Amino acid sequence: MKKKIFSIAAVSLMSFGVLAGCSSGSDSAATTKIVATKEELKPFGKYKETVTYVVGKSTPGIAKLPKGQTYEDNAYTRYLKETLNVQSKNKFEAKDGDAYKQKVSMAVASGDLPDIMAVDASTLRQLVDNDMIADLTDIYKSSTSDQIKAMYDSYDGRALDAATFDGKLMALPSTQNANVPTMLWLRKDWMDKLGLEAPKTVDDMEKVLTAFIQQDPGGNGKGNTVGLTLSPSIGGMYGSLFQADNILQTYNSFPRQWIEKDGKVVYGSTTAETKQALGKLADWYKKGLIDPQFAVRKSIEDLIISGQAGAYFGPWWTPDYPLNSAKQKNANIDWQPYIISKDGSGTITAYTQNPVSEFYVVRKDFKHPEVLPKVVSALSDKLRNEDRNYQPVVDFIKEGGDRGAPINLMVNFNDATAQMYKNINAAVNGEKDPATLSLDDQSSYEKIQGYLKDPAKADANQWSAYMSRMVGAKLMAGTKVNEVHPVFFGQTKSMKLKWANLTKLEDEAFMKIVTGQKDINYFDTFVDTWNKTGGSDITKEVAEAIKQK
Amino acid sequence: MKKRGGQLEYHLMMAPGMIFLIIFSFIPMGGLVMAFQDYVPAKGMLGSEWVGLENFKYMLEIPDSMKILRNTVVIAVGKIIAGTIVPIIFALLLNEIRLKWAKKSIQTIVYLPNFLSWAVLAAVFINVFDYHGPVNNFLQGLGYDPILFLGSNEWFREIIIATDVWKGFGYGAIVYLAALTGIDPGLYEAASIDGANRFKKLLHVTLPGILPTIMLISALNLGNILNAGFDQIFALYNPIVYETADVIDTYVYRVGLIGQQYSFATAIGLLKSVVSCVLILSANELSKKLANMRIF
Repeated sequence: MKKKIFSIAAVSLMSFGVLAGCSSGSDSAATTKIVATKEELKPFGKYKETVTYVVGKSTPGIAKLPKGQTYEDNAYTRYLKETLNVQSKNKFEAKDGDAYKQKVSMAVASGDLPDIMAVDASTLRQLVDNDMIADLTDIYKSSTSDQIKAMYDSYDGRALDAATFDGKLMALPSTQNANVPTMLWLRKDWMDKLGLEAPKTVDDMEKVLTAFIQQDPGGNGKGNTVGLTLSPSIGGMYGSLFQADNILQTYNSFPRQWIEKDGKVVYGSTTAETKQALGKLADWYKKGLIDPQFAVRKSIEDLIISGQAGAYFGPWWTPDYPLNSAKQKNANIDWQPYIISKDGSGTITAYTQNPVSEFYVVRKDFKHPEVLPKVVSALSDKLRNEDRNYQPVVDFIKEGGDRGAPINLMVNFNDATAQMYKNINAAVNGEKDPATLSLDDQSSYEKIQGYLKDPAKADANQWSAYMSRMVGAKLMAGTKVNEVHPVFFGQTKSMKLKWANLTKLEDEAFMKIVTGQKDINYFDTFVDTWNKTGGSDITKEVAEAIKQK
Repeated sequence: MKKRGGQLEYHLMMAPGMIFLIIFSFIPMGGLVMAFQDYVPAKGMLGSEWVGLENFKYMLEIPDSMKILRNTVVIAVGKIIAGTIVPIIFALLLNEIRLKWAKKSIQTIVYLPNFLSWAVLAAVFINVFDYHGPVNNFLQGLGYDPILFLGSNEWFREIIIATDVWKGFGYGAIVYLAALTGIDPGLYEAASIDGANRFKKLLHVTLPGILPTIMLISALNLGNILNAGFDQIFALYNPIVYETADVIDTYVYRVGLIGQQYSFATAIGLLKSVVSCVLILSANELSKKLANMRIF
């Protein structure tokens, strides 16, 4: 009942707020005056008098703060107070996801925004349209550290573009760094046993798989060896395990992505290239090279751990999962990553993911908009590098604390994985002091050293640290990728109602074609139905949305 | 005054059930307005835009509507028919067993699967119907090719119905066994004197004796005609068999919870409830006419 009263109150508050929001939006021709001095505007410049800023704080589901600390007063806020002389106050604290989104929409509807908060792409657009947030263009230039700028620049402008409207930077986005290329992981011990060469092309791969299932090098018994394991989604899930994207990409097929083709926006699942690529997979399925039960398989991991499967596609970190368990079960297995490409040159084509996840905005009339880039610079640059040994934060992490920082803006280099490899590799070669590695990398470094001391005796954890950081990440860093950038990641009006049904249609059609229940020409029927039941309308809306941007 | 006090006791005893019903069945009915809105959680039910019958219209537009309805009815009817006949036959057979301990232990054993959840049983059946599972091994022994049962549109519904009956027939038989004990032994004696053999007795004494129970149970089951069993299908299906296995409940789950189309899912749910309600009312009429028994 209490909840009900609350929701009624909330709703009436909101409808009131919509009106209030409109009235305050109309009279704002004047831009915010900057009151900070030139010195204070510098990324790490310290304020003379404490600046208090109000944030909408997103929290993890279960609060993990050391005893005596709160989200307003903890190691991070104290650090910020010491270095910048800024202090946060929380307008609201809400759990990530729906709870936080709800608080944000209420704040937006009522026109009563915190000074700084995180919003999604559609809310950002709404805030820009209603002129409720500050233009950060100049502030970004003056108050962001070089390192942070370099991080944003590593996305070739795509990260900041997402937050730029009419040439004005309206928010600072959290970034998502690259996790492709994914690679083909093969049982090297099986290949050695059968005298097979490392595959370079899709045809090479076919030979390896054929040998695996026909000669049963693992001794699983006739018919029990699985060639390639495959996720029921088949492809299009960025950087995930068990996708066939590495094969599809050799056909220029990018399912589940909005891409540009001949100047037009198309949905990747409906292209002629995808038809061709699915035909190839269907051919392999017929020959038994793909797990005959992939459609009904509940745990692909089990196949790999039990030693029945010889091949799968996965990103650089897959030695940690699920190969770590496989290695624990059988210390003699040897999984190695390979890059297959169309012409065997090793250069591949791959689609990229959305470079940004969420956006941090500043309330329009806030007197110190520079606090946002300054805090981000302090937390993601100064604290990570120069002040990495700042004891309270080190203790905070040691005591299992999580998300103490008032602003949870994550920014990293697009090639963070490649950099991780370079750093660890330099430390392993003695070119870099291991003490200068990040905490995560240090722990990997120690395991890798343990592995290198005696690979034969290394435990599964040392093995997977080595295989992921030194082998997988190295291959990823060294592979040339022709990037295809999807042009749209959001949701349109009709998608809301119709997308689930279209996805069903797509999943069903893909699977039926690959498993041979329908022949390849069924693809045209699928595209036809897809277009008729909302697909073509949605494509138009997507094209429209891109034009608006 | 005294009379009233007596009444109060009964009302108090009924109260927990009523409160439960009000909280979990009546209050949530308010949410049905979502079916006529473009519901946005942040705006709430009072703030969301009204769209009239838009959601219902879209339901008729999508090509899968008929397929899903047909799947639901086929699977549910199959379950109702098989789930009625099998327990009756089993109860009749069990009733003929003379050894009391054998009868009791068989009854207990077949009753057990009823207590296992589908999440557990699904894992078992996935292995049973695996390419290398016992069923396919048996088929291969006979010289047939193995069949991917759970990925086959020809077999999926049959498997759903068969496994559901397997799980529930022991439980279902209990009611009939109880009804069997209620038949007057004098009738059997009289039949014996008239020279009836065991089969004749079964046909002319036993079956008519439990007919009212059969009618009642079947009538009650009619209300389930649109309930094909969400947890079972959800645990066993996959995109290949959407064609034959996707039922209203699994569809609502995917669309409503995964796809976050609360309004559309509510509309489908509402339609389902209305049809179920009509079916229960007609079942009541039917049982009144045929077995002279009212459910309510």
